Amino acid sequence: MMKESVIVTKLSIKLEGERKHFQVKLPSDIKSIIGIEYSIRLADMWPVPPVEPPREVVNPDGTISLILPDDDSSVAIKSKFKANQFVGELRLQSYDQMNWFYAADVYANDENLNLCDVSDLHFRVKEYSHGIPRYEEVMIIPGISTLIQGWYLDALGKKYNQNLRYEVGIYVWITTEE
Amino acid sequence: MIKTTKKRFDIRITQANATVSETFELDKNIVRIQGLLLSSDKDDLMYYRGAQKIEINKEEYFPDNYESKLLMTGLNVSPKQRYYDLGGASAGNGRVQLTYKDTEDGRTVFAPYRVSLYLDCELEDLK
Repeated sequence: MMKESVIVTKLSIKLEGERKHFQVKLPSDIKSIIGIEYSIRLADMWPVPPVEPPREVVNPDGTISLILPDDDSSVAIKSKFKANQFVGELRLQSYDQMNWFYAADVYANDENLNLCDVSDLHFRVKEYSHGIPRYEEVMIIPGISTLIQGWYLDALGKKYNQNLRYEVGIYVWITTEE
Repeated sequence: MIKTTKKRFDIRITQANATVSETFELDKNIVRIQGLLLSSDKDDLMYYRGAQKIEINKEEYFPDNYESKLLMTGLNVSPKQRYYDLGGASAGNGRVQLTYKDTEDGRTVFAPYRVSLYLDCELEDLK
């Protein structure tokens, strides 16, 4: 009978632009890797993004309207799409596969969860109150190798030119023979 | 006849950076656990700060440091899809151990909060 389990690895990032190489040790009775998840926890205060200036929107009649950042009107919503906070890059390699088997841009959270949600005016849409369940990225990497090699490269500290301390959690889902 | 029931177990986190472990006992007629869900009275604190280990019948389903945010769902999810699917874990001796760890996070300020573990259980109707 096959059994699923998860191996948790935590990386502590402390320096701007830091690249951390790491290994994940897997049990000797492993049959395959079936999924990967990641998470971010910032130990320092989150950097405050610069104040958003008013945006210019060209109306159909050619006139220009200024949209303020806290404007919740339907006209403003289209121009409110925000890029998610890019935190870093993650690469994983198994000895059973050529090249990387997992490569991801790591993002902190979904900044656009409240986009076009009318209830946001009265009950602020946040990831912890309105988020959808998080599942691992499904993959099947069969093999008997008991080691994963990987690296993580910081982008958050580099963006703000600060040494930000945070933790990256990497969750490797595997199957083993029971 | 198999019926389903939902169970809720609570722990209180009263200190920052504390680890709280508690073992709960299920009713004797519960045979399987189909799913689980974590919730809190201060969702933001649990989302950003929480991690836990969960054992059912002495078998580890989620290891130490598995973050709580990975087992939470929000209001945008329909009630029937909120539970994390365990695929019918055997209840065995009926003991569920929750070891919860609070860790400092730059986005939150600590205040005492409650962590609730919900279980979607299958029970044998003895009638």
